[in-house]
Amino acid sequence: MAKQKTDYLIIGNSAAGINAIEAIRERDKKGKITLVDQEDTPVYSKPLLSYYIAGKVDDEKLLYRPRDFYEKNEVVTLFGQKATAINPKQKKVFLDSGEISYDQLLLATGSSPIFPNLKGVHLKGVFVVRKFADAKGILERTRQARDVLFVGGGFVSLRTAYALHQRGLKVTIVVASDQLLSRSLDLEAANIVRTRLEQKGFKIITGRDVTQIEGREEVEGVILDNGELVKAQLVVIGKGVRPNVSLARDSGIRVNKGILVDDYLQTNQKHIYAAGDVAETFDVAREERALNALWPNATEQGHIAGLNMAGAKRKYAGSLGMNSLEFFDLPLISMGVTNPYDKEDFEILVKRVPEKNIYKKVVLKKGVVKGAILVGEIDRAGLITGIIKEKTNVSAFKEELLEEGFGLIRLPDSLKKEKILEP
Amino acid sequence: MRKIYPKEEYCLGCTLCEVYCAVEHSRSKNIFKAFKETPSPVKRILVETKNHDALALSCRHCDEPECMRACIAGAITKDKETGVVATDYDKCVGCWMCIMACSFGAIRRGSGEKIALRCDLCPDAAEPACVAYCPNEALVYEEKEKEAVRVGGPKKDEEEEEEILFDG
Repeated sequence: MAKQKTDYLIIGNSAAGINAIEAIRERDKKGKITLVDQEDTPVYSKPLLSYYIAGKVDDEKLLYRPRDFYEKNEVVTLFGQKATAINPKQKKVFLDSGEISYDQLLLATGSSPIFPNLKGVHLKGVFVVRKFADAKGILERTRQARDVLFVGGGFVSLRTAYALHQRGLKVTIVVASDQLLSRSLDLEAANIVRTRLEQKGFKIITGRDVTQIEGREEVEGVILDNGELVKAQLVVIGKGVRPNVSLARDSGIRVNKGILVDDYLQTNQKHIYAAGDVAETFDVAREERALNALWPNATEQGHIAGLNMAGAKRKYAGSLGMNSLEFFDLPLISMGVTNPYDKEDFEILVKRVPEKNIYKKVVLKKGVVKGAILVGEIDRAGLITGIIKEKTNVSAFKEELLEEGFGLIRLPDSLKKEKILEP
Repeated sequence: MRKIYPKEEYCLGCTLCEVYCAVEHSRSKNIFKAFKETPSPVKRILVETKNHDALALSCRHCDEPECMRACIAGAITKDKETGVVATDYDKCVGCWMCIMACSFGAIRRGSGEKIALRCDLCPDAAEPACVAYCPNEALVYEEKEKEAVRVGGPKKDEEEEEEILFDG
């Protein structure tokens, strides 16, 4: 393809990249947009892969946007191509097969699953859940596997475990910490989840590390740090993700854990923006920079970066760790700081209805909500999200936060009016 | 766009809007038959109460919907012409990300079905059922100049103040 020119160059065909394209097109109908991605497929939803594995969505519904999205938005797609270097001064990106000059560049290179350094991790039948090919591989494997073992108990593992359980596999989950979802829930909430899963036949092993994956060519099981062998013909690694920063770092763009961005999602290099899993942003609840590699953060960042690339000056308010899950009719949502280490600074309010598996908790700091866990009763959870983002002082009505009837009507008049009554 | 606005000072908290909303979204659209249907019809408007105050709240059809950004299925769209925020229930998988994201708390879980339901402004009716049946005109369906802003989100103001000039 040799040399090309474009107004907007977007690297990464997923949540952030697609929302950036839509935002650019809101402001600029004509500018040339070029999209590069290593995968050669129309955009699909990574969080839907577990639903795909469960058989709840098919190939078409897995797509995040209709197939004609690129055509309709006049996007030049360079799929199956890898960006190898950026020259910010010359405003050029080098691909395997040529180079592109850009006016505005978005790095939405995403993240990659963390592969623990374990013997046997490359055996046949060991998977991560990240790409379409992974999901297809796992599905294919279910034809011969009866037992599936998960290394790690985060959201991706649990969603996939639920999917494979629906497919009739026997599920074992091994987690190093003493609870499931240790980054999102406290022990009490995690134990409600655990009990529900165990009632349905899941085997959950906590406080154990996997030291080795067993098998000759095909995986046969794993060995735990107490020497125990657990049989499995399918092993899924769910140890989280790491941002894909090497392209940026090697090109003189400032990187900490992720790519560092300012309030407008621009990197330290002019005309180069970053959004999505690869970006390290200000976390509104934790009040520090963080990686919040989650779909809603990626889409919003992509949207704002896109607007700014097309000449707006839109500030990004910050990211928030939040996730949602439901299995066996037990819904749960977690957001922000849920399990503060330094308990002195925080106030914790809890509501329990054990017979209904309801457990709700809000975490406050100086009268401002910093996080919440909602198990069993998640209706109107976004009210809390809003209060966290807005940093509303809730001291006057904090006891009402966990009540079923909590609503906007409880908020101070000024806020309520601004929101709905007299916009 | 025309939206449903609650008038807190007129709302009696009678919840008739909830009833007629559920009926309008039932299969039969008949108040006597609707409540025997399975899955039972779900209201998309909610009357909040506090002491003697009441407020009927439904989807705000936001300019920049947080639910749409949160949706992992690409099931939520905002129509560029009409402004209506709609959910494609064929694509919705019931992950509840929109419920987590909507700072108005305006999206509800389906009864029995794993789908997230919202106000659709009653496309089959002359005007939204909640507005039509409110006995005290506490709900109005009208166009206002300024739209509701999202909670804690980026404000639009700055955009107009300063434009970045490309220096090429």
